[in-house]
Amino acid sequence: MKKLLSVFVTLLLVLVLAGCSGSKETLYVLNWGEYMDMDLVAQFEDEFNVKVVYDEVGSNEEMEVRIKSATTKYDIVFPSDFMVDKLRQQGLLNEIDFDLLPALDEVSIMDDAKAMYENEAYAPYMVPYFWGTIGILYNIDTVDEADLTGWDIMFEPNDYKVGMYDSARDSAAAAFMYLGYNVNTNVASEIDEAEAAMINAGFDLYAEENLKKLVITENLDLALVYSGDYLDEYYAADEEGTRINFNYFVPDITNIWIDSFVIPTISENVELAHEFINFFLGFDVATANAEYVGYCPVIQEVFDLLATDEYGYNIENYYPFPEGTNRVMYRFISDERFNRLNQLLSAAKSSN
Amino acid sequence: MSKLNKLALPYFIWMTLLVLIPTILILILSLSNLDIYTLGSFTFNLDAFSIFSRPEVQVAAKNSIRLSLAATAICFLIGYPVAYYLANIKSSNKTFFVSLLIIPVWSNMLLRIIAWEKLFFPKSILNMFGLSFDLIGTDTAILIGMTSMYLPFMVLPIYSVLEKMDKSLIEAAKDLGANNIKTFFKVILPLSLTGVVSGTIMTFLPSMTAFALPERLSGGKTLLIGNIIEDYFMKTANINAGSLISIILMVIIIFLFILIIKFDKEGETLI
Repeated sequence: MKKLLSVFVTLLLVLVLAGCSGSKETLYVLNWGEYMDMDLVAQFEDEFNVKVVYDEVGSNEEMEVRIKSATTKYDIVFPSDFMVDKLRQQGLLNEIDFDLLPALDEVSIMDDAKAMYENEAYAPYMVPYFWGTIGILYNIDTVDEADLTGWDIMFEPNDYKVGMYDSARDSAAAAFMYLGYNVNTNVASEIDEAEAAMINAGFDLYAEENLKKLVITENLDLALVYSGDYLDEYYAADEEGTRINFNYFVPDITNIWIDSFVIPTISENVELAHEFINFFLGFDVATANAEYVGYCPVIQEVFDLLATDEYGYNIENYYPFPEGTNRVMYRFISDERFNRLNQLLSAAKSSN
Repeated sequence: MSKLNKLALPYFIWMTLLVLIPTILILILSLSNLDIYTLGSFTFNLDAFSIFSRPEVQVAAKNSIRLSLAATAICFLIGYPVAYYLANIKSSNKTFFVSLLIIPVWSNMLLRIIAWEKLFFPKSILNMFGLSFDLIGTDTAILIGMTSMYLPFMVLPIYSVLEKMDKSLIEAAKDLGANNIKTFFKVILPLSLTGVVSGTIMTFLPSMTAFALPERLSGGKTLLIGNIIEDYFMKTANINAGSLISIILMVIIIFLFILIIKFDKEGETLI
């Protein structure tokens, strides 16, 4: 009995130790799917003789859960603006030591992006990564462009088949903007009105990343998506040389988001985390990464290089904040409000 | 005996780590304000029970019961004749026919769900054959999906009972003047009831707790109780309420399991 137990314990130990082979320093990174060029991560590993453990999640809330549970001591995470603030308020983030980021002196963050966050309380805790919008992906063969006047095309009764993103925050934001309210409203009557608008809209489908394919195959006429969904499909079609039968419509007012590097307090390797951020701020690396990811970079020099005919990123809606448009960022208000938005989405989903 | 105990050790460790401890944790979560991420001190309360007044929970519970009952009934209506046929064919291909039923179960369920989803959109590969369905978002889509997923779980228990049935009882019934219909209802059906009960429960339970299937085939518009649990755990971090629903489902499952054992003492119909 004792013997068997010792064999079992040894086996367990072997399994555990196998996870931390060698004496190399290890950096734990938590990111969105397909949001970083892994070749560049490998290059970082070689250059600094370290090991990078890279995990992916699908939502800001999952990132928060992973940071709180701390089963993996993440050194770098990429939450969006409002989640950076929520994490900061809970004391889960380290302040960024900008002295450890010399690469920032060589490049400049785009003014419009900087203006979004520089006066926020969470600015010292983040370094911007990419930014984008939410908007409406539509099929150019089935949607009359004259109907694209604003958010009303999703909410007013019409003959179009409309897909809604299965996300409480984004679907509610679309409803608020349609009604002319602020996306961050916490007025009970305005939230009730948004609920009624969503129920009334009777969306044909609620889904996530599969929405874009459904629009392209004409199973939907239009759908709420992130700018990256559109850009991904655009590049894919461009590369394959297929006809592009879809377009991205951004109403005059929409949400803009900035995903950022943050260093959680659970990090056991804060210095290396700064090296990692510094590495990805370097012009060459940032350019290669922006080409891989496809979203609009926040670094002016990289943008200026890519948004030319030569590089092929000189397309409409690549830049998320054109002059004369109105863009709002989400804010973290409270958990109660977020639960209310989820109720609103559930009510809309189960209403028909 | 002590040798047997040693052999069972991995099983006990496995069950304790992966079944017993999580179950206790879920039970505590459902009846207290315990925060899963800090696992500190907690007080018992019944706050989580307030979710039953929420409309989406009520709608989901109704949907779950309605759709899983319908799917179970359809599975029974299709499954019994199939099981009866399989049990009575003389052909040496019997194994082949039975495996035709089992083989699809070996492929990943999510893939099969997505395959149905693609076919149920108006623009699909079926257009090649001049067919076009627009079923996403309808109960029909969910019921077709559930039936195709869970039919084998109805057929196999009934088949195994019918297969082992003493055929001389049927001959005796006929000797005594019963016609085919009477023989079926007076002899065969009552004797196969253990299989029917197992089959019903094994179809009813997974269809009631399904979450990927309704989400994909209803276009996200038909919430089942499984979707509510998923949302509570993954989206709103309302883990105590999610645990409460899970515990209630677990109690139902245990109750039904006791029912199976009562009907089927040797456990021969359990796969």
